[in-house]
Amino acid sequence: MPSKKPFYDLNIVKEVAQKRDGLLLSRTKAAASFATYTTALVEARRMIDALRVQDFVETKEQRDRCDVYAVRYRNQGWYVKFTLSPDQVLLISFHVLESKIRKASGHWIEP
Amino acid sequence: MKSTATKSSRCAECGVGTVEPKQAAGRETPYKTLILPIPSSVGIPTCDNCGTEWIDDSTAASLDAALEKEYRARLKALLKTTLDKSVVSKAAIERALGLSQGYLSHLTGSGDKVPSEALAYSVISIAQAGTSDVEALWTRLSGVRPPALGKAQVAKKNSAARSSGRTAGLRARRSSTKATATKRAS
Repeated sequence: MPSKKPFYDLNIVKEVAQKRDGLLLSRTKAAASFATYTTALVEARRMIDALRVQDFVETKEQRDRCDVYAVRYRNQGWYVKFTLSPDQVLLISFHVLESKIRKASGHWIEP
Repeated sequence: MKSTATKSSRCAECGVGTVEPKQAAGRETPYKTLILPIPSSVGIPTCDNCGTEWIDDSTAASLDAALEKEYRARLKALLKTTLDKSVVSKAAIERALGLSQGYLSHLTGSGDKVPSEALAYSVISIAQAGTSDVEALWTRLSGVRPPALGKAQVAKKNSAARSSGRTAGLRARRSSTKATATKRAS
């Protein structure tokens, strides 16, 4: 049975992400959704800052353990997947939802 | 300030490779509305196994600075080439877009001023299609437009407007003085 609670403490994630160079995202994903790289980082930080535990979807056991969230941001559903190293949040996925997704709370988020 | 680009770490994408800053030629990226080359001097933390490139604040800042410079240069060059080749005069395009006379020369000159994307694309579209479509739209929206004026005619018109403004002002003052005098007399 999947956990209903995120693996990483969301407050720590937010704190680390706000630090300079505390947030990393892949170049291709940043360029796909945003006009500039600085905008991508600004928007990613805003989105992470807006996350609530209620937005948690699941924890994925990949090479690193990743928490997945689905959040409504600027009238769109977004898929956010990250892992946390001691001094950096690595944003592995960060894009508009392709299909609706069920949060751990049982609520659905539409694209 | 220490950048992540100076550190090496394990790649979170493949979990195998090491991420280290890499400078390379031949890289491209979408930037605003264009696809631009990434200068080879810009180091991007890159995985030596899967090739994933990671962006942090320092990398984003240096990338954006380099790309913005290139972007502006290209927009300006694009505008200049289009206007040089166009059979439609700058003055006609300026008139069609409601720009001040000489604005396009100012944009394509040697100064720092750069056209916005929207303006550059509007100018290009009019320069390629001709002003007739825009003129037709104007006519539909606001009735027939007066014929375009030359520089000498514009100067004459402005001077006439100034002098008529002065005359109107004098007339207004005179009439107001007359009205006050009439009031007092009554």
